[in-house]
Amino acid sequence: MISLKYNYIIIIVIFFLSLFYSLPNLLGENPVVIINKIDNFTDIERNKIIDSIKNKKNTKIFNENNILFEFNTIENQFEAYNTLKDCLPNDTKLYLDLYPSEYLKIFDKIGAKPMRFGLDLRGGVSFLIKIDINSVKKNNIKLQFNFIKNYLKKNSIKFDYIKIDKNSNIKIKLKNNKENFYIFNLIKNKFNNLICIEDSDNILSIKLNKDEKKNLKKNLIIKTLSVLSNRINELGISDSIVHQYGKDKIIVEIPGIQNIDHAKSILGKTATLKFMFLDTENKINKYLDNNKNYGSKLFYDKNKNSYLLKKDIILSGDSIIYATSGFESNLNKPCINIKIDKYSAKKFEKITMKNIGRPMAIVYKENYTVNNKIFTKEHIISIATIMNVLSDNFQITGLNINESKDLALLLRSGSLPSNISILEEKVIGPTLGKTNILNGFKSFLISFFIIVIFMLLMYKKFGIISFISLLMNVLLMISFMSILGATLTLPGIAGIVLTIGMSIDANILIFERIKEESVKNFNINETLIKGFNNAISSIIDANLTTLIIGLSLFILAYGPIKGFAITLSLGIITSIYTSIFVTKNLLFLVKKF
Amino acid sequence: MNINFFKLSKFLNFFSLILILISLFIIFNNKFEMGLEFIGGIEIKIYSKKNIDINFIKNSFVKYDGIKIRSYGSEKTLILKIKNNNSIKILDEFKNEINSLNNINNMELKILTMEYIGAEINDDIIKKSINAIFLSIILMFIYLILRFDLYFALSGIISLFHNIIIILCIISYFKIELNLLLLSAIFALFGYSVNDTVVIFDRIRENLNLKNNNDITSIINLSLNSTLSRTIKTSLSTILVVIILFIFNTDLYYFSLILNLGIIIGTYSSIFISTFYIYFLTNLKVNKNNLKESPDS
Repeated sequence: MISLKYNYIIIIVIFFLSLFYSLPNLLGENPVVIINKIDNFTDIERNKIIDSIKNKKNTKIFNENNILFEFNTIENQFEAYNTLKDCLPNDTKLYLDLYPSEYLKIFDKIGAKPMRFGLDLRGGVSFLIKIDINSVKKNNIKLQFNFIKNYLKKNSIKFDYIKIDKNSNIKIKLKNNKENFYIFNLIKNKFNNLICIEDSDNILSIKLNKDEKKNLKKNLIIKTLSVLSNRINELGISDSIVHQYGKDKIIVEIPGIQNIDHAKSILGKTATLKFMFLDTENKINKYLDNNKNYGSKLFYDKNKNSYLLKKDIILSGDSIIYATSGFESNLNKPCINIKIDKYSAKKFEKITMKNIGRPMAIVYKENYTVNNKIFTKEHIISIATIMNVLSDNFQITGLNINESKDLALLLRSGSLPSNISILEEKVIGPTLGKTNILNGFKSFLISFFIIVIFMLLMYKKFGIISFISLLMNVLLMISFMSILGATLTLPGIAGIVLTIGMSIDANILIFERIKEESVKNFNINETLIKGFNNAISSIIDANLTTLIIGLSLFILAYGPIKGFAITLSLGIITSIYTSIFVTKNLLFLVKKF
Repeated sequence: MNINFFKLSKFLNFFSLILILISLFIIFNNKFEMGLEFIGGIEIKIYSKKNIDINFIKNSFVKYDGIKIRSYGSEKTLILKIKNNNSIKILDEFKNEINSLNNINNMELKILTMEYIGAEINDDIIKKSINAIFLSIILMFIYLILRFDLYFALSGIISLFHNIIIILCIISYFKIELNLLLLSAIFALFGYSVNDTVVIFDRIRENLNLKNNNDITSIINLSLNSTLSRTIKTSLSTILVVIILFIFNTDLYYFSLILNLGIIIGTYSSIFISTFYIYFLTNLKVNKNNLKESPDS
């Protein structure tokens, strides 16, 4: 009997815990607009801000550095966001976010928060983005190709040809086969990421080894993920999701926003800088007339003036680790402060030391995609004479304020390591989300009560047990989802409703068994225990088979449907607890009445 | 209660076999109306407070090849859909078109959702779907072998295929769009179908161990009778909640419709199909053993 007492205590504690962690979902969160670093503003400015969005229903909360405007609808929030954006100075940071309502703050302290709503319930935009792995591989092999070619020339090894074939393998045929060992040694000593095979007809075939391919892919995806989430944060959108899907795809989910044109243009931009020397030896006219390659290339600045630049790149945007926009101290022109990594800084230092007095050009390069084809545009943003040795920290000028800001954002968030293309774009309006929430909630409540009535009709007082264990099951599911930070979607709600219908099966199994036993047995205790024990094996079998399906679906699913897999699987796990532990102990309580 | 299910079993299995053949024929003839996730395209859902004149909208979008426009739930919501189109630009064109309808014709149209799915994603999703389907069937099969034996496992999987083929036939015949959401309903049916069957299997195994009676038909009959009440009640409770989903959520219309049909078929097959194959396969084994033994004796 003592152990039973403990069981009841456990059940009650778990019940209250799950109730507590589920409650935030009823209280909800409100859409807010946050203005950062408010202490930079004067009181007049503050009042102006507050006046400008007075008519949109909102409340305001002052923190130490922020003002927070709370709105009752997403539409109001968004309208106010746009108004504020227009009237605030350019460098103010504005954030769209959800903020727990007043009551919620107590819960917030112990980590109880409402479930995340998926885009289909909340409205927002989602992108499925594909990373161009092949082009990165190709670029990589091109680098190696140039190195090997130079090596061959330097050591005057004669070759029939050296080329990159369509499978991105470097193929070399040497004039003298006996010299093949040069290449083998070179690959062995210098490139531990390449492998070299000799084909039957004395053609050497060089390609990336497996580990290198894997690393390349892994780094590419990690880099892209971090760049994308950096950019979204820089844009002032919090609460977004960026994660990998499949081998070479990334999902970006941005809740709340409908007007995505700016976000979209920033997300996929691959803008970067490169530093090149001005070619002072060759005349532009000559270059244009002969169209000969002097190791230089023609570039234009914004005013369509043309310059010849040496093809060798002194410093590329990849080396930049941090960038901010600001104003240059001497001439008070807008500038970008750039910080580059140590390794590049050393190289850059050497080059600039050797070339003091020589003019250098800074080139802006941007890739853009039209109809899945990639185009590049490049232009010179400034040409300056190297005055002193440049190292890891320096400034560049030549762009206006907005351009500097956008470019600094892009450089700061890192350049995308490859081109990306949008495979899927979904925009879900907030109206639909609201209807979905309402309908989902309705079907959840009604199905809950219909099942309870169904069980009461079928099993009379035993139906009360079903009611309690079903209630606990639902609370546990909701609290687990809230704690785990799982996303609730419309199919997810369907999963919960389906769980209500299916998890009651365990109770039905137990009660049916008890009914059977009660015919054979007159001892109530024995009837209950036997009935329950007989049912356990079936309950476990039935639940585990469904769990297998839930988990398989989890692999396939993305977006809203993942929510279905989550709630279905979670519902099975919680219902095993409620049907076995809760129902069992409640059975002995009912017996007393 | 004592119903002789087995008497019906032979007839119903014959009936099901013919049903399956017809279903396969229909599936191969009609194919499937694939959803956007599998073939790519554009879908836009628009809404207006007043009823929308669908013909007027159709005329305004007539220049787009292969566009399909239909009402969704009520006269106030329309779905515009172009399949097999790989240009994300059309999304913007549609947006402009709808804006101009609003400005020029005062239509008060509101865009509820917009969706663009490029063709490149499809291979991946199709591959993943097939992988997930095979994975779940194999895992289910292994589970059944471990918990029961090969004959039970085979019978369970046969009845699973039976259910799925009939459901796929319904989807194919009525040209219901097979999208990822519907696929997850089919997945749920995988689970439900085996869930329903496994309880009956459990009882058969229990009775096989309990009774020394070798007559498998009477054991199956006994087990079916004693689990009948549970089978019906569980199906009923699940059908009830799915009906509620069906009533309240337009977005889950086909999802819940297919779930409900699947539950009904699953209940039927777990009573008549799966149990029949246990009998059938065990008999096959017994006959084989008899054949082996007979030359010696």
